[in-house]
Amino acid sequence: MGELLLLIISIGAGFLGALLGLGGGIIIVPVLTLFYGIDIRYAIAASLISIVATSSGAAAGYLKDSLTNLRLAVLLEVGTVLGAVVGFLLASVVQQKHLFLLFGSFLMFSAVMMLRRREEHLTATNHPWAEKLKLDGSFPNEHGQWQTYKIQNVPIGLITMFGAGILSALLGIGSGIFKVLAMDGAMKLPIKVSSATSNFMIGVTASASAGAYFLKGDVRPELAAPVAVGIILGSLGGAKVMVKMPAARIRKIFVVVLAVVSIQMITKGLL
Amino acid sequence: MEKRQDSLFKLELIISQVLRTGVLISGTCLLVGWLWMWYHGGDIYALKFYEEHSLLEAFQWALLMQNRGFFICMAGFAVLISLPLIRVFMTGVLFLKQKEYLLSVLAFGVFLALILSFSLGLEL
Repeated sequence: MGELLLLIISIGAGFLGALLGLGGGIIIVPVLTLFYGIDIRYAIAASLISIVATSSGAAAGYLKDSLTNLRLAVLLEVGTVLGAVVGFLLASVVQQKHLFLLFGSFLMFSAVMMLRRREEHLTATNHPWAEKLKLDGSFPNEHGQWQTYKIQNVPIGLITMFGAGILSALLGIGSGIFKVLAMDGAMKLPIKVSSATSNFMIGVTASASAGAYFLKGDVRPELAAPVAVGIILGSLGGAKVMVKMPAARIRKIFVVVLAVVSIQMITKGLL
Repeated sequence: MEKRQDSLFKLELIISQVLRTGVLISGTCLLVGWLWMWYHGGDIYALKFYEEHSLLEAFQWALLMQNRGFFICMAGFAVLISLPLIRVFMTGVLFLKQKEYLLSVLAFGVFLALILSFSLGLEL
């Protein structure tokens, strides 16, 4: 019975994740560890698998959106993948209680970030690296007109992506929050472009450590299969009803839930 | 020139189709494999405690128990994990065709880093 419930919870996690623009990992890891009492290392591996699934599905549509900056994604993937390699190596030495503390802190940070209003910080000049690699681009704005943009602080972006990769492998998350923070905050990309490019990159980041966990034997099919299937189905549903749901209100409720779960995770890490 | 643009667009379309089909195949494998395992008495509560089992040991055990669901799931995971790898490789080819050599090197670098990362799972 627990298995069927897990499938239903995973569908819910995928649905909510798509609705709020979050990965399913932020929901599924706490559910598996706090509710089911599953070892956090199995939960992290299962979560990474589901992130690869949803992100690969989303990346398939990049041709249509005209928002994803493929050239920038390739450059930043160098940072995230190398970070994921380091994160995977760290995961084998970090104690379980520290993973709980780190995850709890990440949830609290995510809750605070969800309350933040994202603002455009566009720039008129390119960083030399962006100039050399022709990373700037254009996208269709809300009026349907093509708007050009430039990119700043490329090295800061790369360093942040490295950190995002470490956290992804350590905690089983997509690290989208850090990716968009670097892209629309430091690199001055338009919000729409940074969100689309982040979603496009998440699958590659997650697969770096998911592949390693898989070959290590930590991806257990009895757990990871229903979680992945549930999150794929849920995210498909979430994306379809997105425009009809009161996302702002759900977001506020979810911030409170995140804060409570964060305290629970931190407490578990301290005990 | 137009012919070249056309072939690039076709390649982008292929990348998109590979990803979509891959998710569909792996999702189906995972669903079928999981249902199979569940029907034959799989138990997630056994995962409350972490045990070091290499993938090879898990395969040997599943072979001994004739656990077909396990193998179907594993095929699903393998397809799923290889999708970003394929995507990165094909992006490298795309940039190569566009004569964007620096970006192509970066894409193939990411591809090699992914292989390196996967191999770490075998060593540990």
